Amino acid sequence: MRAERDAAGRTPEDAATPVPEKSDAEARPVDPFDVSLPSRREARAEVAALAAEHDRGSSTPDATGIRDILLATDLQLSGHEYSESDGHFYATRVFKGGREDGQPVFVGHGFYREGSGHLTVPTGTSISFYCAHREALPGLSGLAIEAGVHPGLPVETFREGDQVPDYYLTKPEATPPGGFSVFENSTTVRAQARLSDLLVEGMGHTHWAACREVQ
Amino acid sequence: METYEEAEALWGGPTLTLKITKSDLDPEAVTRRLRLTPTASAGPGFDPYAPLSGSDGRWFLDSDTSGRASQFTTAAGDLLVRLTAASAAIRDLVDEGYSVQLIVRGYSGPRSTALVAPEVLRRIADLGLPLVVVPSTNER
Repeated sequence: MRAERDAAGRTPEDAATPVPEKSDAEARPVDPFDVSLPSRREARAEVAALAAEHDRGSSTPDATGIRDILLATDLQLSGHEYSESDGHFYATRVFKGGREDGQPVFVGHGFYREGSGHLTVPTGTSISFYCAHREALPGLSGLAIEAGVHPGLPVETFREGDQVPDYYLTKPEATPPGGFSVFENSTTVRAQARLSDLLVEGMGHTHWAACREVQ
Repeated sequence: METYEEAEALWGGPTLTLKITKSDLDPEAVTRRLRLTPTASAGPGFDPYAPLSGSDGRWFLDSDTSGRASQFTTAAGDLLVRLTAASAAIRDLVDEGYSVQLIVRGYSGPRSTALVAPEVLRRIADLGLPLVVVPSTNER
């Protein structure tokens, strides 16, 4: 008999166990048996498993390539603690850092709700999408966008003055049985928000690492 | 407490939504009649970004989308309390030909479940509205 688990895979005992505070993941040795803080090797194994799972269910040819690129980026778990008011709190795990170029990445579940219309991209801001409107973005592709190592060009880029559908972004809660990994530097939300609330003037080049399905 | 041989994860991000549509729907009029502020609304018209959705006017009210999946019962319950208070106005809309639905959405996969508590089901039944369940397998 196995204990019931929540969407993040935690048992009631896990949830009740306080996680020691730490300023950096390196501050304490990684315990390979500590499921609340998987080791780097486990994290890599998880990414590999996600890639294999993706390969089985999708005809997209580059999942393995994306996996290999991600594995070469020296993924390390973040040591930050997040509260319920942070979108990152709802992710299965958080990796250190993010894009080397520092460009903002919006991360979570994404969708367009019928009738939402569009917004005009503000001055000094642009946004790139990596799947077509009405399509889903594979989890690994999203992670590669966050890391700044996505091998493909954006499907679409909207620049200042362009009209872009007013998508919704929701918190990065896992689609079971998989996980939802994010990078520290990515932008997440704790409750659903619209792109028109997220895009402001002078953000520079931003990226959407979420789906664009229509509801 | 019941126990199971296999652990079952909850759907991610479950949300309950009241959706009202009609060809001549005036969002502000619906807001006034229900005395509820919509999460989103739009007057009648073709939406080029959702070409299959028709051209009806739309009015949506979502349950609270913050919090964990395990808090869905609370979030859905809170919305249903508000809808119950507006049930007479909702019934009037139905009688006038508006399409009124309750929609449960969430991110699901194998062996995952959406837990809908008995009190939530009872309130939905009391409202007498169609319930549509829409699982998504999207990873993002």
